Amino acid sequence: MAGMAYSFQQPKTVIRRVPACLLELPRAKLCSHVMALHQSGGPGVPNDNSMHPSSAIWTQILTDVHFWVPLIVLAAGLAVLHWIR
Amino acid sequence: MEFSATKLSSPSVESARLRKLQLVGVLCGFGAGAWLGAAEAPTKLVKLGISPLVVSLLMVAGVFLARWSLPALIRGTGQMRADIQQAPHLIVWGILAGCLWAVANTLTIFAIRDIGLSIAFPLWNVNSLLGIFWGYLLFNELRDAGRIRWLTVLGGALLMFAGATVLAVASSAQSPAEHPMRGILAALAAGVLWGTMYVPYRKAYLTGMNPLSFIAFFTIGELGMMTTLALAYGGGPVALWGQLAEAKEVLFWLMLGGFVWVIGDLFQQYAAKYIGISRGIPLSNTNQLWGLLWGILVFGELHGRSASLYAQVIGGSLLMAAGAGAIALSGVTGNEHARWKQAAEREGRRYGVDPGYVKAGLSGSDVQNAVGQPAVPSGRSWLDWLLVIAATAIFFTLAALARAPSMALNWPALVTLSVAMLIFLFACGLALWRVTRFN
Repeated sequence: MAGMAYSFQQPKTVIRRVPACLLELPRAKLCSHVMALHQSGGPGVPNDNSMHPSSAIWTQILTDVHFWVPLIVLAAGLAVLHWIR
Repeated sequence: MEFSATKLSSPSVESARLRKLQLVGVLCGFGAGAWLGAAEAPTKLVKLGISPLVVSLLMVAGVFLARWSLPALIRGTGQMRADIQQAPHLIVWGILAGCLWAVANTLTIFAIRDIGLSIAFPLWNVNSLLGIFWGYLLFNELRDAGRIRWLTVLGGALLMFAGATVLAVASSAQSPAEHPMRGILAALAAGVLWGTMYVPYRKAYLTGMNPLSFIAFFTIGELGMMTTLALAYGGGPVALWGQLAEAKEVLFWLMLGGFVWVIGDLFQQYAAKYIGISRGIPLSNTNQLWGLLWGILVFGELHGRSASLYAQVIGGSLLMAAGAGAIALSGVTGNEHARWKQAAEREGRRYGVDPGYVKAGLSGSDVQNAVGQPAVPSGRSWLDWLLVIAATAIFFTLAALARAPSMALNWPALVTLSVAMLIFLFACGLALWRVTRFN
């Protein structure tokens, strides 16, 4: 799911440089997608173009310490539930 | 894409707008308390012999219906899609938060069964103290806020905790504990899970996500986790189906509880977005006061008890109200808001989110305009209407099958409290519409 959504995210950097009216044209949309594939991901997103987009998002999530805090708490909560039920 | 720090640190969110957003956030915090407190009433049905897991699963089913139909009605699924295109990583965060909620909610039902609602409630409300801790540690909340604001927020939260404890002591006499240690552990664990659940919330709202979009993914985690738990601990699909069939007469009430909870939670999400989790959670924890009002006025709890007990209840309620008032009056200063923006900037950089989107989200303005995208049509699609009609049809069908539990209810009090909730719904909805257009 993340990978599919990421493919939407890339064109937004291009959309900012193309007049909005042109984006109504299917061809312009296609061009913006193609252009996006040849761009770097910007700060915070790995610049390695060979990396699959969903991998890039997962890399950011898994290296984010904020992600591990709720995950560990969730595991502990499940353990408590298993014990008391 | 270049993320310019100056774009966010410039005085883009004017102080007047900031004040308005904070007022909306405070109002939503109180509205959340009213609606979340009312949603606790259906848990009384646990005493009718239904498994806590089934109760939780049915509430979550109601929550799921509400979390998809309400956003479809208010904004349309097209707007949700546009939000996710901007910050797809928040799908994962939403699902994680939903899992946390589902486990916490199940734990509270075990806690209510073992030590009673009146003791369990204040114990899981420690989540506000944990929320302040996470808000400070992870999202720069209360940084550079000054001593007075620290005192009012932390002091207010402690006052609320003290008030909650007094209320618990006052009303514990009528609910003898069967398994005290197990119940206390369950309630505390629920508090920790709920306090930590606000980490994904804040993560989403700092990045500019709209609460109406976030909750739609949140509920996938909720329903997925709850179904897994019910299947794993309920003896498999056949046994679970049998329990659901046995509970068909109360399905409506439990799902209605979930629906009411969603409205409260929606206001809680807006409070977390506009005043942060360190202030938003304590305000929404006024739900205990509302829960108590429902218990005493509608269900006749504490009826015929001593005057000293009523004095304790009034004293505890006043303490909670004083704490909530202190927090409500502790506005976010310009310095503290600048630190919020730094945290937002960090999130944007990490996940490559458009700075315009983040900025628009923080100030509750039109996101599509801010990122230069063509506006998503604000009308409802056939899918939106399908979601609304399906949810309504399910509720009507279950209502037709439902049988009113045989409980003595004080109807005038019930009507009065319901009217008070509707006033909050109207006031919060109007304020959100006027200031943010639900953006």
